[in-house]
Amino acid sequence: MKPKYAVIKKHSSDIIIIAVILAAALILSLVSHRKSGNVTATVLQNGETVCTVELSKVSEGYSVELDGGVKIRFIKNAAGFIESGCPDKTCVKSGMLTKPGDTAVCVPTKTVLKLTGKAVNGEVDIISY
Amino acid sequence: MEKPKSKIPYIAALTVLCIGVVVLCIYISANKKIKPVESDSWAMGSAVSLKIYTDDNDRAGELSQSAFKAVADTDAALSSTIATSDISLLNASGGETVKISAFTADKLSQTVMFCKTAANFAADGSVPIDITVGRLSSLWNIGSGSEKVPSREEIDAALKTTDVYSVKADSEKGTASIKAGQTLDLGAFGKGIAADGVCEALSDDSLPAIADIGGTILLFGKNPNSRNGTWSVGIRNPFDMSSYCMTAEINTADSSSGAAFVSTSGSYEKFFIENGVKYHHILSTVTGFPVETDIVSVTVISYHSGLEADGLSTACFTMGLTDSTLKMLKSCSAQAVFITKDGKYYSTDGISDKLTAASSSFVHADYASYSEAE
Repeated sequence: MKPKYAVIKKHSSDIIIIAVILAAALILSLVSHRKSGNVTATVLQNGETVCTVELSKVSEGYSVELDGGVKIRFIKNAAGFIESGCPDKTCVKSGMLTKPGDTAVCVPTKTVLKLTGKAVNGEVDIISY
Repeated sequence: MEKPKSKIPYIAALTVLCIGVVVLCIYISANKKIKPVESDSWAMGSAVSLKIYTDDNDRAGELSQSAFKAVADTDAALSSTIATSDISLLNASGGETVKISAFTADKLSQTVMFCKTAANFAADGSVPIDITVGRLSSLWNIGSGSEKVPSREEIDAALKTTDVYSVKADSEKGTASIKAGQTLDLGAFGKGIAADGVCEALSDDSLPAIADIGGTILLFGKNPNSRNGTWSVGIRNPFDMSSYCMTAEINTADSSSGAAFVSTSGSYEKFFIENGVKYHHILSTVTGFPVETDIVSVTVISYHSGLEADGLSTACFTMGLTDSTLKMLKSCSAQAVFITKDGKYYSTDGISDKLTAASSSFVHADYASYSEAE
């Protein structure tokens, strides 16, 4: 009986190492999954990207001013039009966007604010309007 | 003899670990989503965006270029605000037959055919969608920022020129004519026709993709990020435009071309308010005023074309939740979701079980129950 026990004991350190690697891989994959849940706001004017903001990293809210009297505000986990020189203010009425897939468009100033990223749930591929 | 026998538990433990690693790898790779190559543009007075599901940037770049070209070409041919377009040429023709591109003639005859078909379904003999409303729509000019309610005389004069039956288009000869004084406005179909162009451009390759042309959506191929290949399409919340109120799971396998088109018509986006009255942009060719209805938005899913999806969403909005509307949708094998002012939504049978309301404030109601109540 004694030798058998000895063999297991001899290799138990290997098993522990493999187990640790496995656990590390699992944790890593979970962390990377959570990371992909981050929401990015992209602002476009005339089809050109003006700026890209990772919303979870916004600690203090700030605004960006664009052509056509457009002002877009970024706060932690949300972004939205707060001002526009357009007549109908449809963009401002869209409010603050929070979910990936959310989009606000200001047609007269050709400005688009869209949120992308992988949500944990309730994710859509696109929105029809 | 003792040594090899005692190795068994070690080998067993190692095997279990190996299986564990393999399972984990499979789990991770199965959950790894393909990140599409995204590109954006501004065309047809709206945001145009494209997502192509591939890791080959060059291939995606070439495809998106030809897709955006298709949108620009559609606009250049059909826009009534571009002075050099075929449609502008027709609008300035004074009733004479005009030489136009085969593309424009083809799209013109298709839209005329659609308008006539929709009119045949409308029970009251009205024309629920009409490309000859140009004078009426420019009279109201909703979305310009300087809107006012036109006078009755002005509206009547504009209504006299609406008659889709007087539009003649010959796609073989590349000619067309309209009645003198008439003005064409293909705005209700434009984005859908552009979506058809994008679909054609994407057909050069077999990569799955989504195109968004100002809210008219093209779903191309199978979604590589979902188990059964379906796409999840959000319907914008008409009461809170920051987000969507409903999601529809759409499978392009239901279409022979492997593509599906989603179009929404609503009264919530383009409108103006005068003396406390809201005037939206979908005009009735009967009254000359915005269509009066309890519906705030209609989303149509067509498995044939963008032209059909766009045309149907406008026609459904105008015709309302009636049996005629249902018959029209059935004849096109199209599905639709109607949202009414009271926060209820009605849907056709083929899409009902694929809809999920994002908020409990939206209540599903039976389509039949509405038409009976009418």
